Amino acid sequence: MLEIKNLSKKYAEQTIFKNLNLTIADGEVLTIVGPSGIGKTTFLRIVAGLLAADTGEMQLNGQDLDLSGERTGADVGVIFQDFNLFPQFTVKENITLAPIMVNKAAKNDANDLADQLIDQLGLADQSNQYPFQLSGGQKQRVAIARALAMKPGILAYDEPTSGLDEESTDRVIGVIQQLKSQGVTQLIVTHDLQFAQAIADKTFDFGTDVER
Amino acid sequence: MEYILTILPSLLDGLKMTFGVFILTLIGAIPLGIIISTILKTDIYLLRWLINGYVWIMRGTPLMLQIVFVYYGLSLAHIATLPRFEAAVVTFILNYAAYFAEIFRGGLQSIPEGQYDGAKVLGFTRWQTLRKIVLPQVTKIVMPSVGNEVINLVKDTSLVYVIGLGDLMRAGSIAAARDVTLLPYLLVGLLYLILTAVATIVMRRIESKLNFYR
Repeated sequence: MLEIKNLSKKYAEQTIFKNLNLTIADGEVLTIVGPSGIGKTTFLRIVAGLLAADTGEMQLNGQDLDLSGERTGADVGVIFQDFNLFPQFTVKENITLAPIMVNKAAKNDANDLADQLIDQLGLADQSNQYPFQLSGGQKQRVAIARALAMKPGILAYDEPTSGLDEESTDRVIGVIQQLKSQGVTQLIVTHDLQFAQAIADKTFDFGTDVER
Repeated sequence: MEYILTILPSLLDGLKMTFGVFILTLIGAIPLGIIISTILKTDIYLLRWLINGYVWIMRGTPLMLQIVFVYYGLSLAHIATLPRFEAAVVTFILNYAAYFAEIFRGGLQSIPEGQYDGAKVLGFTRWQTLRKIVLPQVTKIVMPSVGNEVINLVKDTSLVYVIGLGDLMRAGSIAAARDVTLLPYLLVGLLYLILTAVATIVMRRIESKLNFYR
C-alpha cells in the first residue's frame, strides 16, 4: 500500500500542488490524469525519489520513503516515458544489471529471474538484442521487466501510451492487467483518458482533485 | 642505402624516446582528464574555478613554453628540479589532460539526464552510475576526438628537443646537420608517418569495437 500525506511542491512562486493526499491499495491500479503541463510528471518524479518535495510524507507498505530527492534503493519501480534503457547493454543485461550490482544477487539467480520476466513479457526473441534494435513497445516492456527485477513495492509509469501505436497500447494494457492479477500495485500518469478508463481501478484527476 | 643503415640506429634510439613520452603521456593524461572532467561538473565553486583556470592556462599557452617553464622555471624558482625526461612527461600529461578533460566534458554533457534517472531509480550509487553506465557511453562518444589528440600527441612529442631530450626529431636534426643532407629528415618523416598510421589503426579498431550499439 502506498500512502501519500500532505504532499506539496512549488517552483519559485508557482504552487504545483499542495496538501495532496492519496492512497493506493495493494494490487490496485491508480491512474493520474489531467492535461499536459499540470504537474503530473513532477508528482511522479517526487514519488520516484528523483525530485524533492517541499512538505509531505510517503509510506510504502508501512515504511517511510525519503522525499528529499536523495533516496537510495529501488522501492518504487519507474517506467519512464523515454524508457531510459541503457544502450550499451542487451535486453537481458538491462534487466540483470541492477539486481547484480545493487542487490548483489548471484548471477545465476539474476539470470533466472530475467529469463522469467522476459518470457512473461513476450521478449524471448529480443533477449540478446540492444535497445536500438527494439520497437517502442518492446523497449517499454524491457523497462517494465527491468523495474520488476528489483521487486519494487509499486510500479510507476510516466505516460506509458505516448508514442505507441494502437497495437502496442493494447499490449501494454494487457501487461498492466496481467501484473495487476499478480498483485502488483501500479500508479500510472497519463493524459490519455481512454487508456486510463481501460485500466484504472481508481482515477485521480490532477486538474480538479488538487489544491493549488 | 648504406647511409640509411648508418644513421638508423640513432634514429631508432630517438624513436624509443618519442614512444616513451607518447605512451606515458597517454597513460597519465587520459585518467587525469576523466577525473578533471568530472570535477568541471562539481557544485563546489572554488574547485571548479581552479580547474577551469588550469585548463585555460594549459590550452592557452604553447606546450613548448610549458615544457621550458617546468624544466627550467621550477628549478630557477627553487620549487623543484626535475630530470629532463620526467619534466617533459609531467608537462605533457598536464597539458594533454586539459585537452582530454574538455573532450570528456563534452561527452559527459551529451549523456541524456534520463540515463542518470534510470540508474537512480534502480538504486545505483553515483559511482556505479558513472563507472558502469555513463563512462562507457562517454567513451564511445569521445573516441573520434580522442583519436585526433592521440595523432597530435605523436607529433607534439618532438617538442621535447627544447630541453635537450634526444627524441626522433632531434636525432634526425643532428644527423642532417652533421652530414649536410636532408635524407635524415625524410626518414624521420617516414617514421612519424608509420607511428601515426599505427595509432590511427588502433583508434579505428577501438571505435569499431564500440560500434555494437547506437
